[in-house]
Parts: sequence; structure tokens; C-alpha cells
Amino acid sequence: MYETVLFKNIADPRVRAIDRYAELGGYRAAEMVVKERTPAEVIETTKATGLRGRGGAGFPTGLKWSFVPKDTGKPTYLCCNADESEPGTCKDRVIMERDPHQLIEGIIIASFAVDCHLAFIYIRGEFWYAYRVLEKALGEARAKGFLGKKIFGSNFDLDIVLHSGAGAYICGEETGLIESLEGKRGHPRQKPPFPAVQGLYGCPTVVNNVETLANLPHIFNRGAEWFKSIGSNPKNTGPKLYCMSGHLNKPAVVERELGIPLPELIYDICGGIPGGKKLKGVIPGGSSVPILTADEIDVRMDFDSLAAKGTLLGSAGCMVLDETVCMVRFAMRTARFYAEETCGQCSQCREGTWWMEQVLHRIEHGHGKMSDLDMILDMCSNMKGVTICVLSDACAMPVEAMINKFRAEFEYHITNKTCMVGAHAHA
Amino acid sequence: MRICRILFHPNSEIDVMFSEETEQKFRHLLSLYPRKRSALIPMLLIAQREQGYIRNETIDYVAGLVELSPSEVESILSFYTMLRRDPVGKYHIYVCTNLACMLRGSDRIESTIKRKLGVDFGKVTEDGLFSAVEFECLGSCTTAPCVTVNNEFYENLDVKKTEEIIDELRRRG
Repeated sequence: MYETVLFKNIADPRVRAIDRYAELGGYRAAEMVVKERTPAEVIETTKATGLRGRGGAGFPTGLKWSFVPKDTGKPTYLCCNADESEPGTCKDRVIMERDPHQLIEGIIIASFAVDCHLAFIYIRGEFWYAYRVLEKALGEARAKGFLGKKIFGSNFDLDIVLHSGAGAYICGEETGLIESLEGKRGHPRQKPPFPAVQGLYGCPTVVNNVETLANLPHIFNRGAEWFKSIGSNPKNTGPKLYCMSGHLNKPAVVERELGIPLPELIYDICGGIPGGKKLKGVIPGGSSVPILTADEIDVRMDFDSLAAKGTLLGSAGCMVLDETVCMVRFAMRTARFYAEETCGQCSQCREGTWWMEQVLHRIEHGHGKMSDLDMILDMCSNMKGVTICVLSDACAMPVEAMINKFRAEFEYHITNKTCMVGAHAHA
Repeated sequence: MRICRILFHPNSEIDVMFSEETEQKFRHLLSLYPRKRSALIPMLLIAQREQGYIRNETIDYVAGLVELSPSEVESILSFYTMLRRDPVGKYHIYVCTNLACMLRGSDRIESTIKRKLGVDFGKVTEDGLFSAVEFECLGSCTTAPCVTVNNEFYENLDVKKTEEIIDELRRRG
């Protein structure tokens, strides 16, 4: 039986209030860390847990913190990435709306680790409700002396600024986020220098995802050994939120150990596919990752197991597709999203995403040519690994996989000028 | 009037009327960040909440506050989908048509909203009450399909529920 960690209190509506959160053991870890540990110890413990970033890349969190240079004479900033916009992903929103103090406590611990005295929560503009919940929670934390000068009566100062974005997927990319937070267009920066060295206002900056930070209070309450005991192997540890959407009887954001078998999520927890229909495929980690066919779903949902299958865990925005989905239309909609959201700096991405959508659009509408398929695949290979950020790759990877794995369906569409599956992608 | 605007000196007195509450929020935002221009996007969102869209005068005024030129502000705001330069309806609807919503039938939600409003996406109804636009993933994938009305979420929609929402808002006026 899995013991919930991150979602332990979300069913309790009172936990949004600081008193209730504290009554359930909240802020004890942050207080202990700030008063009794050194930043180096916090980084070491976090490294020992094996915690990997939950935003998509899966980079070890403790290691990321350790890259922040000391004694530069500049302030260090921490940015909490709450710009959750990857299609298929809706986990951070649940934490922020239902258990905001868990996130704030995590930010306190992370800020202490990197010696940050001003942290930011960059929240996407569409999350207006979550914004108000967090705004209230931050006010409560300030009133209690958990934020501000000498928090918890220690010598550590910290404030958190809640900053609203205004609708741009690319601001979820960490350097795009930093540019946006500086009041500019959200154009990702060329790396190196990495944000740990030169980030917000040219100062050392750490960007961590909401879910990553929400793990920290539990780690410092229960220890690294406890954290490592959850998960599929020593490189994939801890609890994980999975956003199970699409054709499921019980779609939900589910918390289980990192590395739960995918069929268990689909059939045991989410009730399988409605209407007795057959499974066609699964996008395991948000729209940017390659699709798995029905034959490939026997895999654990962790960073390395999915990588071995040629796909990614990403943000764990897991979309389940039944047999009625037209893969051509699905690919077209995927490409359209990236064409809509490209920042336009790099030509491969700006032009590539647009042309990808145009060509898929003409196939979908019965004007495609057989040579279009190889042309798209050629475009895909020219869009990967050649741009400032990975938005271009994020468009090319899923479309390439859809064509390679469902090529017959694309060919049918071109020859017969209609869908192989008959209907559009309806539930 | 675009050419006129750049003639304004950023700090000149421009007659822009925001409520005292909004002015106070502006001052608070300007005090929060190590650099003023970081407050730009939050300030534009607040201005838009009060006035429905970003007016030319607002750009001039806010540009002065964050010490940028109006054209820089216009360039920055044009990057962000939620910031708009034209009036919208009293109830502005974002309709998610992205993958997770598409799988759960957002096509039908889209056509229902167009039918109930009687205008295409991007247009305002004659009574000024409604406007709707297609929007990218709103982060409501496990409760799809979804729309937001003035940033409040309506989830697990079907045709009937969508019709009821529009009817209810129309009654409210």
C-alpha cells in the first residue's frame, strides 16, 4: 500500500490555513533546517536523497544547488517555476491550490541551502485562483514570522515575491523564465553561462519546479534514507505526481512512487479505457515526448526506464489515447501548439514548427503527398539539438515518433484523403 | 495615434485614471523587485483587469513608471498572449483546445460556445457581454475539457454544462 506524501493533506480544505498546516506538522522541517543545519549540510542531504527535478529534465536537485558559486559578492536568487504549461500537465496547480504552505516551506529550505534572501514564485497568469491562494498563504507566513527578517527567530532573512506571468509557454524554460521575470520578452538565453552562475539580474540563480520544492519538507522531516526507500531504483527515488488524462475512466492527478509500472497507473488506478475501447498509445510525459504504442506500455514511469524506451518522463503529463484517435490530427495539433508558442529567436524552430503544422494540416485535410512524410522526418532531424532551447526538439520528437510508429495511418490519410479511424478524436 | 505617443516624455503628466487601489498596487509592485522593470508585466495585468485591455495611454503611463520607452513596453506586451490591446466582452472566455481537452471532446465545447454566442472567436457579442478565444493548454488536463471565464475555471464540461454556463452568465448580465 502506497503511503501518500505530497498529497497527504490535499483532501483537507483547512490545510490552506497556516494554523492547520502547522498543526499537521508543517514548518517544523523549515524551522529545524534554518536553526540547526548549515547550507552545506542541506545540500549534502538533498544530494543523498537522489531527488531529481520534477519539472521535466530530471536533473539532480542537490547537484544543481551545489553549482551556485559562493562569495561572489552578489545576491543569490531562487525562482520557483510555477509556469506549468506543458500540455497534459496539471500537478503543480493542485499543490498550489490545495496545500500552498507545503510549497512555501520547501522554498524556505531551498533558499537556505543556496543562501538566497529573495525568492520568486513565477506562476502562470492563467492560474488566478492558485495565485490568490498563494498570496494569502504568503501573507500568513509573513504574519507568523516564517518569512521576513530573522525567520523563526534565526539569523536568516527571506522574503518571497509572487510574480504572475501572462501566457507564454516558453517562460517555463528556466532562462525564458528569468528574462520574463526581468520584465522582458521571454526569450531563452544561450547557455553557458548557466543560471547558477549568471541568472536573474546577472546573479547566481536557482530555478526549481513546484513539485521538486514540495518534496523538501518531507525529506527534512523523515530523512534521506526514508526518501530513498521510495522509488524504483537508487537513481529514481521519492514520490511522484502523475497527471493521468485522456481516455480513462478515472482521469486524475495521482501520487505514487517514482517508477510505478505504467499499466498499473492506467488500469488499476485510473480504471482503464472507457467504453471497452482498445488502447492506441500513451504520451507518458507531456506533449513534448515521443509516444509509446499499446505494445510498448510495459514500462516503469521513471526517468531512466522511459529513456531506455526512447521516450521521457518529462513532467509526467501522461495522456492516454484510445483507438478512435486520428494520429494525423493529433500530430497536427501537437505541431500547432509549438508553432503558436515558439519565441521566434532561432530560425530552425520559428520556421520548422510553422512548416510542420502547415504540412500536417494539408495531410489532415486531404491535400498531402506521400513525399511529405519523409520531408517532415527530414525537418525533424534538422530541428533537434540546433537551437538555444529545446522547444524545437520538443516539437520534432513527438511528431517524428508519431510518423515512425503510425506511418500506415499517415499514408492511408494521404492516399484516401480521409481518416483511417473514421472519426475525429472524440471521447 | 501611435506616432503621437512616442512624443510623450516618459515622466510627463499624462492624464490616466486608475483607481486608488490600482495605483497602490502599482506602488507596491515597484517596491518589490530589485529592478523596476520586473514589475512591468504584473502591472499591465492589473491595469488590464481594471480597464479590460491595455490602452495606449496605459502603455505611456506604465512605461514612465518602469522607466522604459512606450515602444519597448509595447514590444514586451505583444509577446504575452494574456495581454490584449483590444476590448473584450465582460465575460472573456478561454477555450482550451489542446491535446488533453481535444481527446475529451473540446471540439464540441468550441462549437457550442460559438453557437451560443453567435459570434466567431475573437469577436465581442453585440451586447458587449461575451467574447471567446481559443487558448493553449490551461492546465486542467485531468478535468478536461475546460474553459476559463475571466480566469475562473469551468471543468469536466459537456455540451449541456457549457450551455448552462453561458445562460447563467447572460442572466447575470
